[in-house]
Order: sequence, then C-alpha cells, then structure tokens
Amino acid sequence: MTGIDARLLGAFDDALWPIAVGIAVLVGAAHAVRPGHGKTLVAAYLVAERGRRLQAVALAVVIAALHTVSVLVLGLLWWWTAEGQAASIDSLADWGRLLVAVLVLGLGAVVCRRQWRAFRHRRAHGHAPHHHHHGPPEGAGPWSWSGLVAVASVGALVPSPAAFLLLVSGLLTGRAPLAVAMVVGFGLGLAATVLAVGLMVIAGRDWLGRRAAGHRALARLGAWAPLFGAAAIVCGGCVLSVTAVAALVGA
Amino acid sequence: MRLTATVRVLLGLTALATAGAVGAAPAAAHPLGDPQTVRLTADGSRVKALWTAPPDDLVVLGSVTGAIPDQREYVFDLGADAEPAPVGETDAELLTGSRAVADYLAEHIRVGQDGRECPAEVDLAALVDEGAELVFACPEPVTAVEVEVTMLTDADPAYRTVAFADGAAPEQHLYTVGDPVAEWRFDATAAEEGRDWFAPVALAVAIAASAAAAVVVLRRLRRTAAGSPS
Repeated sequence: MTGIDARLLGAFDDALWPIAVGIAVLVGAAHAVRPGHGKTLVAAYLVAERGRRLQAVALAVVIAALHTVSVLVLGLLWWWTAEGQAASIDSLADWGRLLVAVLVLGLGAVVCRRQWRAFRHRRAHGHAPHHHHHGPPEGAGPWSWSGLVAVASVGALVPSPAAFLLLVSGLLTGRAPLAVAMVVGFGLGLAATVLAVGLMVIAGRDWLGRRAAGHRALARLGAWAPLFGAAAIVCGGCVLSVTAVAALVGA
Repeated sequence: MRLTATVRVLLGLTALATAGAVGAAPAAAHPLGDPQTVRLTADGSRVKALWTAPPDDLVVLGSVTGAIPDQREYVFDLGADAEPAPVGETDAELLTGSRAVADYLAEHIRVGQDGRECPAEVDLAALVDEGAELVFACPEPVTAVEVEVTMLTDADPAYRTVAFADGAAPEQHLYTVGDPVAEWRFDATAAEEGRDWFAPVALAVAIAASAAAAVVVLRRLRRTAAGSPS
C-alpha cells in the first residue's frame, strides 16, 4: 500500500464524508492512470469495433458498476469467511484474473473473426470507402453488452486492493455506508479516466479518417486499423492468460 | 509488393503485442490480497496472537526493520550442468532469522492486563506461511486484556490490521493509527454478544437488488434496440 491508494484509507479515517467521497473519485481517476487497468485493451476494442462515443460511455458505466460490485462481493465474502483460518482472497483473485484472461481471449477471437470478414468484404468490393447500405459503418461491432463486459472486466473484475481494504474497514467500524459511497466514487473515478482514454482514441481515429480521404497510405492504415485492434485484443488476452496461469501455478 | 505488406503486418502485430505486454503486465505488480490480521486466543493466563500479512507487507516489514536491505545484490551460482541458482539467504530466511523483526513485532503488538504489560515471546518460524506467533504471559488468568496493535503504521499511517478473537467480545476490531488500542473480554458473557450483521446483510441485499434491476434495464434496452430500425 503506497502513495495515492493510502490516501483513500486516510480520507475514510479522517475526512468529512463529502470530502472523503470526492477524494475517492480523484484517487480512482489517478489510480487508473497507472499502467494496467485495461486502458490498452479499451483502446484496442474501440478501434477494432469502430466504436462510437456512446459505446465509450457505456463502457465507462460498465467499468464503474463492475468494479463496485466486485469490491462489494469480495469484501462481503472476506468478512463472512475471514474468521476461519483458511480464508483467503488471494486464490480468488488469481482465478478472477484467469477468468478475465479467458473473457478477453474469447472477445479477441470473436472480434478478429468479424473484422477479418469485414476486411475481406471491403477488399472484394474495392478499396474506396462506400456505403451500399444504410446503418452503422461496415465492420462496426453490433452493440454487444457481453463485449463491453469482457473489456470492462480487465480493469474492474479484480478490484483495487485499497478499495477492498476500504470496504473491509467500513464493515468493521460500523461505517459501511461511507465506505460503500467511497467505493462507488472510486469506481466512477476509474471509469472517468477510461472514458477520457476512450474518447481520445475515438477522436484520434475520426481525425485520421477525415485526413485519410485524400491520402492513400492513411486510407490503407485506416482499413487495417480494426484488424490491428482485434489482434491487439488477442495479444492482450494472451499476456493476461500467461500471467494468470503463472500466478496459479506459482501459488 | 505482397511481401512488403506481409512484413508490415508482422511489424505492426509485433508492436501491438509489445504495447499489450507493457500495458498489461504491471497490473500483476499491485496484487489484491488479504489485509494484515491478528488472531487472538486466550488460554489460562496466556494470550496468543497470530499475525499474518500478505507478501508485499512482509517486504515492508523487512524494510522498516532493516532485515531486508533496500539495495540488494543477487549472486547466481552457475553450475556446469545446473540451472543458475541464487546464492545466499532468501528474503523469507532473512525475515524469519532476524532479531529485529521479532523485536518489532513484540513492540507493535502489545498485551496488557490491569495496566501491567504481559511480556511476549515471538516465534517467527512460520512467519511467511502461517504467520508470526506471539505468546504473552500475563500475571493473572485472562478475562479482559488491553491489546495494542500498531503494525507498520510507522511505514505508512494508512496501514491497518483486522483483529479477530473467537468467542470474545468484541469478536473483531479494526486497528488503525487513530485507534490502536482495544479491550478484549474473554469471559463467559463475551460469547453472547456476537457480530453486527446488519450492514453486511443490508449490503448483500442491495447488491442482489441492483443486479436484478440491471438485468431488467439491460433487457429493456436490448428490446428497444431490437425494435428500432437500424
């Protein structure tokens, strides 16, 4: 426990509740800036699925909700079982990481397949972007809640240790409502950072799209981008799987 | 032309894989684990405290006591046909063999009876796996004792320790830097008090209710999306 995460617990102990919740939002946002937390995969997903702003917002909402629920469930589980000697959330966290890895690999496979087909389809119909039917752009992922949950799980299913400790503190000191409010705030902060990353990715992609109109190489890059994004999700899934399996085997 | 495209794709994939690895790997570096705990039991005039902590907190313990040096050299032994193996004591051996760690534990977990301190005996043999065992010898048979826990709060004031005592009152307590002392009663009336179940049960009900609400809302959203022309 170091730095900003420790401030979360300090705020719970000492600060007035509106300030404590505000600090929790800020700590959550700052926490998500650090490496990990699925920002790379969020970016890859939005590029691969040609995601729109609404999709980025939905993703942020799912991340906030999933992080909050997983802190609450883990905290309660720990509180219920901790009196027994064998209680440990370490192994639960390891299995959680494996579940996340499997979800991401599955998502990567689905997205890869769809984008590869869309890519082949575009190739078969010539390079120029064209719209021969109405609706979302070709290759754009259908609105998929399971896809959003899979991406959100990377940053949210195995929650922050500080948020977990915060809830345990709340349960043990009879200040559970404040702890829950702060956990929700932390999740919202986390989601805000991820949303900012997502919107930046979308803005960058759209900018590239506009520039690509008169630029052959850029247009080609734009055509390949969703495939790269899909490949990145698979790569991310592989890395997550390796670390999760290593943790399980090493334990 | 075709070859260069393939090479470009491969280069792109390699770059993405590297980015993915860089982005994902450090997530494992700040692990979710059990908090520090102290389990108290009383037997006659003795109080036993079992202190456990996750591995990263053990490293902090090694650091504040000086048992694990902050700057380290690793020397590897390269045998002719063997895997390279590090030479010297492991971190676990450094911790369990350290007098300073034992003294630190005895200083930061203290038991008193009627204002008199009960001297501690510290057993570090199982520190890493099971936890450190402290046995406090009190002058009188134990019914009520004052237990002070300030483990690692000198490293960071946000550190906290969850204490449990089966059949005692209270059954659990959270030690923080602002609340380092608690009185525990191990007499017969203590077992009747039990834990406060209200907040956890209310929370569990709230989680179940919001999960159910989320499912209903998602279904409705999906139905609306399916019904509207694309």
